[in-house]
Amino acid sequence: MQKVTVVMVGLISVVALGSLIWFSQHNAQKLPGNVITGVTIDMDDAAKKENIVPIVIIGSGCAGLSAAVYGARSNTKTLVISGNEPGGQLTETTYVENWPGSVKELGADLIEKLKTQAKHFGAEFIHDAVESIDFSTWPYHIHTEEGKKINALSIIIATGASPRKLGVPGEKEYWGNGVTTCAICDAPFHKGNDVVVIGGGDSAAEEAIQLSAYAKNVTLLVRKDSMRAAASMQARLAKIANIHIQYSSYVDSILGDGKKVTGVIVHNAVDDSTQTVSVSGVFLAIGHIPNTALFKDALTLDEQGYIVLQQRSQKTLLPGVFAAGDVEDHVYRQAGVASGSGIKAALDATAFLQEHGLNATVIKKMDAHFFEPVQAGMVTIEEVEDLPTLQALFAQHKKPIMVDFYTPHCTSCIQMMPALESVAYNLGDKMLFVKVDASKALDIITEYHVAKVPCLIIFQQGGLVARVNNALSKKELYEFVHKVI
Amino acid sequence: MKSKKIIGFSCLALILIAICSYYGLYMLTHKTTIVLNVDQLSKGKNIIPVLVIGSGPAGLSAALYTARAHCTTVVFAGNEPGGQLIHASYVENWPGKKKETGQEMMTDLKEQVVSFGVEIVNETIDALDCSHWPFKAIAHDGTIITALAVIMATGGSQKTLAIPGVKEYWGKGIGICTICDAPFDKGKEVAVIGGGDAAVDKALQLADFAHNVTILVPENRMSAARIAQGYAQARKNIALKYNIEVTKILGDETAVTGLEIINKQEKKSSVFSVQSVYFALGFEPNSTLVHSCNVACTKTGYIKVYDDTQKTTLAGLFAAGNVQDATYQKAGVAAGSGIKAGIDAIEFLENAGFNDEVSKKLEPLYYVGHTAIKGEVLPIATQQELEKLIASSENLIVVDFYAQGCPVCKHMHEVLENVAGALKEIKIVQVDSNALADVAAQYKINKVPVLVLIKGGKEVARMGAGVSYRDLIDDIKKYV
Repeated sequence: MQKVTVVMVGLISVVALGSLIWFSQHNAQKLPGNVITGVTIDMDDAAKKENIVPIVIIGSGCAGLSAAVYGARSNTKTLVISGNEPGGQLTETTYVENWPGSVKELGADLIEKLKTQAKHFGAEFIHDAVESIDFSTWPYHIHTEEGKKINALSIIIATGASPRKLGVPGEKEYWGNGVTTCAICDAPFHKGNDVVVIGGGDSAAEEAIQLSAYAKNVTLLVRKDSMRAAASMQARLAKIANIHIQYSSYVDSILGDGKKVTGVIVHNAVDDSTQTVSVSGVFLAIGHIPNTALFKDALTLDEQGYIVLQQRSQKTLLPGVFAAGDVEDHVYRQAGVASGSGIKAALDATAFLQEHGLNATVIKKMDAHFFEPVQAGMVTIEEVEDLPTLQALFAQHKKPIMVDFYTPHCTSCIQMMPALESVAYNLGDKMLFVKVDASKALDIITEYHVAKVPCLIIFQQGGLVARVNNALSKKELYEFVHKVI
Repeated sequence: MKSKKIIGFSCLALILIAICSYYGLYMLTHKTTIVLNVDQLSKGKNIIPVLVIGSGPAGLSAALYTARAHCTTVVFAGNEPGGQLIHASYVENWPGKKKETGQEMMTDLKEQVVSFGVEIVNETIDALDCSHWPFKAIAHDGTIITALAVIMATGGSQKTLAIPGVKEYWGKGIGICTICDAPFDKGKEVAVIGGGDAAVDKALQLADFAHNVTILVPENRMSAARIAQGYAQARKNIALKYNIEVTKILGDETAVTGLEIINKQEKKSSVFSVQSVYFALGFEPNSTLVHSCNVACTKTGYIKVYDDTQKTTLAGLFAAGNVQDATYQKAGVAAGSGIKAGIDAIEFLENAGFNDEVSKKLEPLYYVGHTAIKGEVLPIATQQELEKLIASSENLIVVDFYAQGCPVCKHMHEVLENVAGALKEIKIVQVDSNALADVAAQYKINKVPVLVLIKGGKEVARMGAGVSYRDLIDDIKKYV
């Protein structure tokens, strides 16, 4: 009898203890830990430094630009480092109809308006990307890819997210040769062909709709048995005859002929069958991964890699460091939400600066030590319209010629242009830079097998010496050019 | 024997603890899942899948998302349609929009929302019963609504001070809406109490009319954006006083004559002579509607939302905008939270089993706002015209004094059109109190909108803003 009681008591205590532990852990997840305050913040000391910027915003999507509007409007010097994808993901959509207050607008136009608004209040921009940040002392030291050094009194991280990849055989091999994430860029190359779009959300639906105008058949492969896309989006899909939705399906591998994509092996989870489908293009729309590589050692990230914030604010666990937009939002990932969080981040940053003594007197002391962005020199790159003109250039010039293949609606092409123009300005004496509209100069793209934009080819006296099939950052552009010269 | 008893007791106690903790845990982690019962719902009426209460930036942004997801959405506009933003003379910091008036901003948002099929009803929700799901909401006209999801976007009301004189001189020199009343302050000494963006905006509106405007800042610095502070500093007739506590509003019984103030830094009290004073002290959350529900609120009355979402402690009830935001209180932030609430509501409905098919089945039972029959509100062009009208009529005449650009007046005009439709025997006319300043002076108008009721050539009553048209009909009926 006693034995039984002891066992029972033991059992029950274990259960009770177990549930208590689980309970406490469950609650602990909801509350971020205490703020780590490893750095000393002394405004007067900071005023002695060089290249000071009170608010540095990393990233120029909706979150970064909305933060810039509010930061600059508080008359605090605000610098936006636009990064390698200026304008962010919104520039890759066609029309935005759910930005509060704007009935229907091109994503790129909306970004342009935001930028103008931020500039109007005095926000400054540099076409550069962050290489590293030293979070160990304050002001935080930022090093850019172009070698600029900035002392930031506060930082707003608005680096957004990048498209997720499948990780199946063939994806890496044919990346840029049929496998892509930008329908708006590459849809014209698939005219009359069959393509697949992978994903089940709004962006997958959007990509399928964009492609349906060019491709013969668009098959949407949805992993689950239903779509996550908004009902209005699904209704639009249903009305388009050449879009076919295949549920419970995913891609096992991507096939090709060594040069470009020829098909995919599709796995059906319901009957466990596989099927080979011939396609010329594979478009990924399977979500995004937050861009936190620069901060992963200094900041607390959640399991999925998103920056952890102090509840209901945009404060990270590091003083003076804030985050806004898709880099911290694992739930909503909407432009309007990102914008709202950008405003909050800027208000948090200005409050932080004020609390730590940034006032008119200190600003006056800092004035001579502020970082002044020098706009990099740029040249306009000349357009080549047909093959004979290009061949004439080959005959005329001894120095290497770089040809930038683009299309008017390709976001990454537009995003790369300022970097290219600045490289052309600096290396114009050693190399000739021209551009070709791939949707018009059909004879050139046939001759050089261009099937995706952006595409950069360097020619030396008519011969192809280097080629790259994706967008490059300014730093990568220099490296690419220096391979030849 | 004794030890056995103790073991027995502790055993029992432990069992109880175990059961309780399990139950508590279960309740916390698996909040009773809500499943939509189509058959039961089919017996009901006035169903609204997404009921949005409030029509400011938060409410309308939420509606934009829910309607776009085919979740039929009805917005109850409340007593202050358009929310606080309509009071702003200019909005220059709405992301992606050029500088425009608060009213234009809200009109753009309203048009966008309506284009996705949202119905905006000019009515208030008076009570909410959240004891059972689907929730019951009672509209001001008595209609009982069955709501599957409710988004509280009731915003905040302008804070005032609980000091002597406020009640007494309300409307007699104390106000909130500068855009409405600034023209009446021509040549006067005016004070604005506050230190944020709104205080600056109000001072700027007043500076065009008043002789001097003084912003009385309670703190030692302003919280307004420095660019906005610059706008105020650039105006010669705007002055700033810091560390000011207003302790009493003084008057001569008919109008405000001054303020009793204390300079908190110098610890000196004095009398500051003004003829008009406006509050710009931020908002108080309008959360009374959920006080009867089992929803957690903060001590100051803000609805609590959880994790990074807009979910309240009650499944199916969401909150967005100033009613849940004690920190930021910016239109752009409210809009962002509205979108989040919208997405949360869509997710909730989908998980409960709501889809296009269910929606089609329930559609005949959906709530449809009654479109009131509109009557005529006659604009008066001259003083003679009004006098002639008063002399020729024995029936009740309602004279609505308004001002151009006054958002509350615009709402009052809409309400009066409905009143005119309902009460055929009376005549409703409208007087622009700035264009016909003589008439306004004759009737001693110093605030708009004001309704003056005239019968048999004599004034019989006066009414102010902030009432629904049903209340107004009842009030006016008394004098017919």
